[in-house]
Order: sequence, then structure tokens, then C-alpha cells
Amino acid sequence: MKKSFSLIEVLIFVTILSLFIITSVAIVTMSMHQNTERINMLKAVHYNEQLLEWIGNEKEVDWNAFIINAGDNTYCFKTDDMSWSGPIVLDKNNCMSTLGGMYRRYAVFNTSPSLDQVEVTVYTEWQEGGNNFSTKLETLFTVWEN
Amino acid sequence: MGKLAWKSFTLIEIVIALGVIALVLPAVFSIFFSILRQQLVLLSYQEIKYQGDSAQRNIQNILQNRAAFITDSAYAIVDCPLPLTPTPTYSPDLYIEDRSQGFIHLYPTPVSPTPASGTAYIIASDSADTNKTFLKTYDLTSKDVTISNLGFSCHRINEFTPDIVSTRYTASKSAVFNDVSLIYTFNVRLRDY
Repeated sequence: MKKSFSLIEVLIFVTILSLFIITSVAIVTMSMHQNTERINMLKAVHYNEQLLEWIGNEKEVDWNAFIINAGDNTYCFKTDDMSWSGPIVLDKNNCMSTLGGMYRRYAVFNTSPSLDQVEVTVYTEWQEGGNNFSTKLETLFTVWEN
Repeated sequence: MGKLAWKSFTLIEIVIALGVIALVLPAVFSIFFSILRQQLVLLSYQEIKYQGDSAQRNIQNILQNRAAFITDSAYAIVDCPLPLTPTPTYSPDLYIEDRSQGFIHLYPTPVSPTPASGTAYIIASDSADTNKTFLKTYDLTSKDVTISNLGFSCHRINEFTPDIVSTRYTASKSAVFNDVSLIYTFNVRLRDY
């Protein structure tokens, strides 16, 4: 007489197998998602650092021109070649995501001419899987530092 | 006394089992290699970020600590143009008069032996002063990370301001099925003028 598996044995096996597969898929998905996040974050930090480096140099080159350009404006920096000639946006949403195919990079300036100082906040934002991500760097430039 | 009976798999059972394995294995391996590939891309980005930043600091140090003027290729005349809003035209060569009237030539040159993955670059300097003849090389990166499109440009705000050197390069590394790269652009204002 043939001995086959009972229904309860088959159900237990299928349940264990399902749990194993679901756990594995969840781990794999999470791992891939985190890797993508790290890669995008690394690139965003690089874009922020490059912009802050450029702004710092603009300040070193000509302070007076720098504070005139900076004002209390928000600038969008869409490409790797940075310049003041880029469009000044009043609303950061006007800064289209063109950098690196997905990033929106902009700098917010807050100038105090009487104190000879400019507060700068650099943002790089991007969207991924329906979620919004952002990195920012803040610094304060004054006329006397070097 | 009972006879021990061996029950073997039927052909149809083996065919079905093989069919299931044939479907599952490629899926498992493709997921495994996707993760591996992504991990390699991430590691490559970390490596080029680290070495790219290091190259930037090296170039900044050379320019800020040693350079006085940018000159022409004969080290004869000050050759930094004066556009107020410069549009950099990058050249792979930069000729510098240093603070002790020595001369430096910054240029990309392949390392020897050239790595199989591509051409890595170093910056070399020399002196036109026969009393101070030297050739010093600065390794910008290891052979794993390639510096390409290295270019220099120079401008001044006016004739009384120091030279400003714009530098641009691409740091890249070959990852599996992907070439990852980061573009670097930065300016250095020389200290003496």
C-alpha cells in the first residue's frame, strides 16, 4: 500500500516554505533598496560639496560681488558647471531635476551686509520609489575669514 | 518474511522536479548577481569619491602652496587672461612660476606600466631652472581609479588680483557591467600676485 503525505504535513511544509521565501524576498528587496539609497546619497553629498566649494571660492575671489549675487536669493545649480548666470528661482520647485538625471540642487543665501556675513544652505534633493530624499550643508561666510 | 520493496521516482516526477529547479535556479542566481553588482557599484562610488577628493586636495595644495603666477609654455610671460565672467577653456597643461622663481609644469601623463583597465593619470612637475632641475610626480589616484579629462583654465578679475585656476577632471572606476564616475570642478585662487 502506498504511503502518501497527509494534508496536515503538506500544509506545514508549504507554510514553512512560504515563510522562508517571504523572508528571503524581503531581505533581498531591503538590501537592494538600501544599496540604491547609499549610492544616491553619496552622489548627492558629492554634488553638495562641489557647490559649497564653488561658493566658497566665489567668496574668496570678490567679496563685494559675492554678497551682491548672494543677497537673500535662492539659486538653482542644474549642471556640473556652476555659475551665477543660472536662473534665480524664487520657488525651489522651479529648479528642475536635471543634475545627474534626477537631482535638484539649489543654494539658499541669507546675507547680512551690516555684519559682512552670508549664511548659505546647500540642498540636493531627489525622489526614489515615491519617497523624497534630501541632503543639506550649511555654512557661514564672513569677509575676514581665510 | 516480507520482501523489501524499493519505490523509485517515476519519469514524470523527475521531469517535474527538474522543471521546477530550472525555473527557480536562474531566478535565484539573477537576484544574487543583481545584489552583488549593486554592491560593487556602491563600493566603486565610495572608492572614487575617496580618491577623487584626495586628488582635489593634492592639486589645491600644489597650487596654493607653491604657485605664484601662471605663465605661458616658455615660462616667459604671465599668461592668465582677464575675463570678468570667464568661460573656462580647459587645457591639459598648466605652466606655473613658483615662489622661488622655479617653474612647474602640471600635465596628465600615463603611469607606467599603463594599467589594463585604462589610462591613469599623474601630475608631473619640472623646473626650467638648471640649478633646480627636478622632476617630481604626484600620484593623484591609485591605478584602480582613473582620472580623465584633466584640464586647467586660468582667469583674473583684474590685473591687480591673483590668478584663479579652474580645474576639472573626471574620477572613474570600472565596475562590473557599469562604469561609475564623478565629475570634479573647483577653483583655486593663488596666494601671491
